Amino acid sequence: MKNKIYIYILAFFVLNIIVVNFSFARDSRKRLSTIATDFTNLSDIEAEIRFGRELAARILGNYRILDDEKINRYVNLVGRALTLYAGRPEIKYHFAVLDSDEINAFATPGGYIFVTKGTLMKMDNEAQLAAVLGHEIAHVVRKHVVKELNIKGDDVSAAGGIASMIGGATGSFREALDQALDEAADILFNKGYKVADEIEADRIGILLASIAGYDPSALKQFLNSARSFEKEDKTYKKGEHPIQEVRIREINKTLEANGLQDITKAKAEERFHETIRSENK
Amino acid sequence: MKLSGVKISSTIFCLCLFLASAAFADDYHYVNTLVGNRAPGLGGAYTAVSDGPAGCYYNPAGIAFAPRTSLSASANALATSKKTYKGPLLLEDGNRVDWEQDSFDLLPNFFGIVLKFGSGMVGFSYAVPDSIQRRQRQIFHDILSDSGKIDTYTININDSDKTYLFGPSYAYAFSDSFSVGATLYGYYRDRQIIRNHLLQYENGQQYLSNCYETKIEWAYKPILGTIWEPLDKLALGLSLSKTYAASTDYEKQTITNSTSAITLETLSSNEKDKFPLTISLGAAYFASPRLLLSGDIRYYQEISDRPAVYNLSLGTEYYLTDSRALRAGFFTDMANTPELSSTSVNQPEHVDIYGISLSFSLFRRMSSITLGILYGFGKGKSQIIQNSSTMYDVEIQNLAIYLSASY
Repeated sequence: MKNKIYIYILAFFVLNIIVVNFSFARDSRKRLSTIATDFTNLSDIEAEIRFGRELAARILGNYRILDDEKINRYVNLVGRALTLYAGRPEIKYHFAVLDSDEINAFATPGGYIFVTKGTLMKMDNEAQLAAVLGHEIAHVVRKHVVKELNIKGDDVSAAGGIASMIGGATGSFREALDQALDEAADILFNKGYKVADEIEADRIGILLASIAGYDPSALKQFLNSARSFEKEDKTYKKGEHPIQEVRIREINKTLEANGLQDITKAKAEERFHETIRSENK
Repeated sequence: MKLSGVKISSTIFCLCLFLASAAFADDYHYVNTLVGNRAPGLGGAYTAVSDGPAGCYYNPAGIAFAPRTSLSASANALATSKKTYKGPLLLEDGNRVDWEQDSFDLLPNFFGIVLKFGSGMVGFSYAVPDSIQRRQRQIFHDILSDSGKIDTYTININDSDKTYLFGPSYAYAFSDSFSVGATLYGYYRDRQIIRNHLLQYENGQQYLSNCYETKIEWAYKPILGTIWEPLDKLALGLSLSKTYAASTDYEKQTITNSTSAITLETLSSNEKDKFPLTISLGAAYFASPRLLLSGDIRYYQEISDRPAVYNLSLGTEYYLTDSRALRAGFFTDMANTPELSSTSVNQPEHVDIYGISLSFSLFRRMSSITLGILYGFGKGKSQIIQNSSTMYDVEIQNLAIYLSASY
């Protein structure tokens, strides 16, 4: 009997190890109380901005801002034009170019958006820049990191006070914030966003760029280019924008659903090359 | 308690001594307290859930899936227990009198914290899975016995028996659906039994018995666990645990003072207790963000004179709103003693307990508070009179109310 038990236990572990690679990733464990649905409180917005600022500082601990005022100003102008339609007036957006050959872009809660020089160099026109920035703005607008990590303001409710008394917890907010920053950095640098969040950011980014007058197909064109970069560029990190095929398929659906697939709008190719390429000759 | 006109058997002294040595902390069951925040409300069906600090206790693999990077919880529990032996004392008119023993305890029985550490999660938890605090003063009047009429029979009981677990945990998720984890608990049990019996006979004779018993036990308890989610919304959990005694220091001193003599008996022992291997297999179905269904089966290996035991837990959690959740559970706490035989004497009692649980949680921005209740009831058989094969019915009722907080 005893030996049989150990065999069963061993079999369970072995079975786990065998099938682990065929299991599904999911969020089914999330309970209703941890799914952030209401962030209208002022302290939540303050927490989001404070958190985003600290996360931006971590990004700038890894990357240097490109020492080129002209390019940075140009990216800021394009980005801020998009934010006029983003729908979160309480957020003040900041855009900066990172001095890195990697192909990547980051957005932190609170409106800090970064795009690498390498990404700019792989773009063909301003519409693609607007599409990428629109995508990153959408992560901020939809609070993907905020919701994922359940970033909230201080709890000053009566129930929160009672809970604090029972648990005797003090000063846990700072500790929680530090831990959340680690996890957010992990999302930005390693794990990437959830596929559903990426698809949502694509959809909103396309619409933002389109409303601002840019070519709606620019994001699709850039992602198609990125697929070829991925094969040839070792600095491209797979985890950051996974399942490009799925994204492109969903982009096509978005274009079709909004009647944008055959619309040609501004690409601002010359202005883009004049600013970006001329500065990096 | 005050009784009149009780006729007590000639084994009255044996009765006293038997009670002093046997009927205290509930060594006859393995699930004496459910600890944690969510777990008690689910009837302890937490092996496949375990995604909070209580996972350190139930299945450390689960803490890898804790929804927050930092979280702590503690619980303050008020626990009462009442054990009623049905009619071991015979009245003059032929009626029988019950013998009751009550326990009342108020203590924080769980604290846990889990934190992200590298690519895994670390945790530290403290739990009190077994606790008895019994202070009773019982007086019986006008008892008739073979040794003569007893005017007053006074029993003072002061029992304390607590088991503490404390230690670190670590869990690592190999993927979003598979994790392993381990907890290494230090185990400390502190038992102190003080019982005084004073019999004052009608003829002026007196009999006094004082029993003082202590037991300090150190042990360690590793827990290994894994959680695997083979299908969307379905999780399976397995945990193994066993307590290994490191040292035991047992002492017992009995002083009896009758009219004719004073005697002193002492006993000491360093014999280590044996504990069963425990295997918990659980399943949880996360039907929606509102609804969770979970179930556990626990197997306790046979040890020496204790047969193998299976316990079952079933639980459900339902969110009424995004800030209010209800939990309900059912659990068994089967006796780890054999069924009593009518041909043997001095057998340990056998009572299977069935319990229900209910809890309500109120969630706020960074925290939640939970109020819960656990109730267990069981009927069984006991041989309360030493060296007698007579079996008496015994009932156990356990009630615990707990308030907990999590961040």
